[in-house]
Order: sequence, then structure tokens, then C-alpha cells
Amino acid sequence: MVSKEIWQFKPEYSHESIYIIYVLFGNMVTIESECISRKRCFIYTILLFILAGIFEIGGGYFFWLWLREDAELVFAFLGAIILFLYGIVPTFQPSYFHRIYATYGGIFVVMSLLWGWIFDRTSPDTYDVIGALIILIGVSIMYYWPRKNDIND
Amino acid sequence: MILMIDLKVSLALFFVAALFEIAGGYLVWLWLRENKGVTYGLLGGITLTVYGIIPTFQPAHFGRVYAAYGGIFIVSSLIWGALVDKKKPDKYEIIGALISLLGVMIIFYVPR
Repeated sequence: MVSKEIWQFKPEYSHESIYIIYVLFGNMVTIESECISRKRCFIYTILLFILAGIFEIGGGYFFWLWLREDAELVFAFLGAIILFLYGIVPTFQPSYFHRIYATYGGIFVVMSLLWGWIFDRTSPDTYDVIGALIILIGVSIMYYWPRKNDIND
Repeated sequence: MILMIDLKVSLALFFVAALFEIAGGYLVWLWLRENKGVTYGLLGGITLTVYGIIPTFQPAHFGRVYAAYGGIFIVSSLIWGALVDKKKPDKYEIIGALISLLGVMIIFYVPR
């Protein structure tokens, strides 16, 4: 039922936990079940980074509405749930914790720029774009550079 | 002057936020990837909730400081990996992080 390959690099993976995630993300996990390799699953890993960014910025935005814009308490609950989901998304990445999170830090900067552009109409200037491109090069080296003896290459 | 104080408050809050964000993510990671109990997952959820509240204390206009947060986050993640996870950053992580930080500096420091 749950993908077999994606968890192979961590055979002791808790099956009860997988079931919970399967309920939440059922289709995605099934579709992308082959992804134990960053190189072969480039799109999948990119989509996970973007999904994490959406959950993080979205969850934070709900808290912002609750505390700064006096929205109802239900926004705080929604924010907490979305941020919890944000914490779950990176566990689908075929890599190490520190490498995933360091890479995500760079993705976050680029997504914040895009978020501001789309929702706040603050268009990035030349230096924002140059900086963002350099950040993307940097995080790509961090995350996708092939390593010897790396089971998730 | 007021702007400088705002900047310092912003950066301090970002450090605290990064700590809570990485710690919360790590607790969820321990639950789902390292086979620790669901208690870890719940603690992670609570930690991430606290993280979500921190940015609401930010001074209203912190402009491009969010780029600094990305840089703080990259460095903090690698330090967390080395200290907590006992996985020292490898050559490509260090090279990539330095290049990313260059990009962060360009966004943050180039006068407009």
C-alpha cells in the first residue's frame, strides 16, 4: 500500500507513522514511490521544497492574521496544523536532515521574494534577482552535487 | 537610529525563530525518520507552533531582512547537523553554503 522504495534508505522507518502520512498525502506518496535518489527525482525533491515553503509561509501568515490582524482563534489552530505539516514535508526528502534544511533556507529566500512579488506587489530589483540566482546555484551544489558513498545520490 | 534598533531586533528574532524552526523540524524528523515515538512528533508540532508566533513580534517593516533569515537558517542547519546529528558538513555543503551566503549578502547589503 505505502511506497516501498522511498523508505528503503531507512529500513527501520516506523510503519505506523507512514500510515498517518499515507492518509494525509496518499496520492503523492504513491505516485513518487521510486524516489530514493535525488538525481533521479529532481522534480519530486523540488516540489517538496516548494510545498514546504508554501506551508511555512502560509502557516506563519495565519498566525500573523490571528495576532496582528485580530482574526479569530481558529486561525491560530489552522496555523499550527499547517506548520506541523510543514515539519512533515521534509521527511519525504531522500537526504540528511542538515542538508535538506540548509538547502531549504535558500529556497525560502527565493520563495519570499516571489511571495512579495505576487501578493504584495513589491517587484524584486536587479540585485534581488542576481542574489536569488546565486543562492539557487549555492543550494543546488549543496543538495544535488553527487557524492561518493551516498546512498541517495 | 530607530532603523538600526529595528534591524537588531529583527536579526535577534530571526535567530530565535531559526532555532525553534530547526528544533521543531528535527523533532518531527526523529518521529518519522528515526523511529522515535509520536511524543517527539507532538513536541515538534508544539515547537513549530511557537516558531509561528515569533515573527509576529517583528517590527512592521523589515524589508530585505528576510534574506538574512535565509542565511541564518542555512548556517544554523549545518551547525545543528554537526552538533546534534553528529554529521559534519561535507565539502560541497560548505562550498554551496558559502555561495548561497554571497547571494544573501547581495540582496541584503547592496545599497539601493
